[in-house]
Amino acid sequence: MTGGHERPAASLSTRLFTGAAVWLVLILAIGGWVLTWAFRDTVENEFSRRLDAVLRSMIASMATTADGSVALPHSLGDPRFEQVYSGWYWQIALPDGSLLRSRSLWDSALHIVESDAQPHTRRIDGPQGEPLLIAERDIRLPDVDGKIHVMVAGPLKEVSEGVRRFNLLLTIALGLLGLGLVVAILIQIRYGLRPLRAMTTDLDAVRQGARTRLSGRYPKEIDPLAQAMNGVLENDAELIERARRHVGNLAHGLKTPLAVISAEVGQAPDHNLLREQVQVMRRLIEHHLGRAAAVASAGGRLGVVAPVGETARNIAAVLGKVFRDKNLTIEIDVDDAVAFPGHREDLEEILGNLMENACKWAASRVRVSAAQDRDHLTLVVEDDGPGMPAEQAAEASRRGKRFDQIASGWGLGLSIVSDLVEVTGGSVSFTESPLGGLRACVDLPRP
Amino acid sequence: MRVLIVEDEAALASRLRQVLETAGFAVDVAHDGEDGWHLGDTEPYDAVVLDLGLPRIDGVTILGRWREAGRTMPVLILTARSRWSEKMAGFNAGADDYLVKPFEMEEVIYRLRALIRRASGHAQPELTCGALRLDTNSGRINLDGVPIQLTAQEFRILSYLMHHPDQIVSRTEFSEHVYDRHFDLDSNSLEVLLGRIRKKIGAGYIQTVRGQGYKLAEPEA
Repeated sequence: MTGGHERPAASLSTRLFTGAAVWLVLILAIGGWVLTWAFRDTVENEFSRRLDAVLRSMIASMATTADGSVALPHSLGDPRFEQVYSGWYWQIALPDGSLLRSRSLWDSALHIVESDAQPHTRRIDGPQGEPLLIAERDIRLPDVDGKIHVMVAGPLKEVSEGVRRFNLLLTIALGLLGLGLVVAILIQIRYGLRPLRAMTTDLDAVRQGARTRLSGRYPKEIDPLAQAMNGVLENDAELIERARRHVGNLAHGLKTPLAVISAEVGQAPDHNLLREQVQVMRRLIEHHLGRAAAVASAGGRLGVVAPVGETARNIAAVLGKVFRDKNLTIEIDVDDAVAFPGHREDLEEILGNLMENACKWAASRVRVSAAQDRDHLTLVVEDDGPGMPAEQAAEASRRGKRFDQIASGWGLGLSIVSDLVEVTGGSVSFTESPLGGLRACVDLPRP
Repeated sequence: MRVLIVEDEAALASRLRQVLETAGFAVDVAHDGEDGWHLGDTEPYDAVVLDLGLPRIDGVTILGRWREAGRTMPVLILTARSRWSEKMAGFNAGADDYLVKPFEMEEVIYRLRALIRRASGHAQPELTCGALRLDTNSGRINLDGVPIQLTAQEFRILSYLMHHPDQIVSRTEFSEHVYDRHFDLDSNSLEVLLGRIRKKIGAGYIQTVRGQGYKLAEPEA
């Protein structure tokens, strides 16, 4: 939170997502490649089987004419063999070297490679330089001497066109699949890490004092962490409580001997000096005691409220007793709904000290009023006494200033109030009251 | 005026006793809660100085028991605990005033005198009877504006009478409120003391009511 806090390592979400993205891309790439390869293989096989079928039907329909030459009695039926340079060609090489060619070949010829393999397909470049797949076979006809070499060619472009279309579809499909998987991964990460976020929220609540321990139900992987955290918190709370108790015991333990010293100094020759020192010690003790109590009660404050009106009336009853001789009128002008966001003891401390101070200085009247809105509570204590010089009041209002240092004679109580209010994040200000005396105003934030 | 001090710290208790006796009180001291509770329950004190942190029974409990039993003497609490919530607990148990340690001895005396004066129904710090005037803040008695020199015992008797003017104060009441519990008052010495006081303030103020006791009243002109 402060000081040596280093930049956090890459987030868990990023790690999980990067990991998932790597295998996702790999799987999609390999899958795509295999599918393309398989598709191309299938389509090429199919293509060569078609060429083979054409070749067979060509051979079947070949006949020798009366003059002993070879002829195809009718066209192969496919108009593409008639279309010039359509990519679909046939060629019959007779033993005498003459060629019968499809019309589509026009004046070019297919390149013949001597080969023993029968039947045979291979790739060659066509008359336009386009890649062709060729099915070829040597046959013998009863009336013709020598081998007749029959070839049928089809454009590989048709194959690659199909493959290209397939690839396009495949890419779109795999892309959509990948996108879907990314979304699924993100959802999974969010869902999977939700208990951690819940823990963070829980811890924030602990830090703000709303709760003293992690109270959520956590999955068994991080439950030990929550338990360990609770252990630390409990240990911490115990340490703080013990330290606070020690401060309290020390402070209270010191007061009785101090009372004895204070009683004895009456006889001493330097009794004014000694008395002053006793007073300094008392102030120090009260100051640190008040601070320790204020800090300790800062935790676990959320959700706790104390009724302002009732508390003020109780204190007024006590002060009426203490200041009976002054015959003071203590007005409590507080709506019953007004509530102090914190422990009753703290409210008693704030109101008690302010009201006691007001009673001490008042001539006849003390007025306590309070108002609250959505996020503020304002407590005002006024008296009709002599008040405070303006510059002293301004100085006293300044936050964090040790009140007892600047306003000696105005009592330790106001300093304790300052400390308490400061710890709760509020402020105290002192101005002149319409009643004529001091107007102490405490402004507190409501959670 | 007779007060009880319940304080477990011996040094503080003895210093308090000394200071209060000097200021004109008859003082009894108890050093633990049980003793203190018992004394407060059985003896008629005009006021009690009660420490809250006591061994055996704590101060708030003692105070609660006294009030429950109908003991109404004013109680001044002495404590190291200074939080308002702790003060409230003391007042709710029936305390009349509250002092946080360490305190000034003068403050204890001042508060005790005020408590005693109020308990006997006087709102003003000055009690008067004719030309007699008792300033309860300073503990001085004047006659026509002139301070009267009184011994401690004389002062206690006159001060008690001035707190209860026009009332008959019996011999028993004197022995209960003017002397601590170890003192045995015999009838002669009380007569002697009253005689001396009459000599200093004039014979008219203190009347003897035969068979019943004594009464302070404005002398008839």
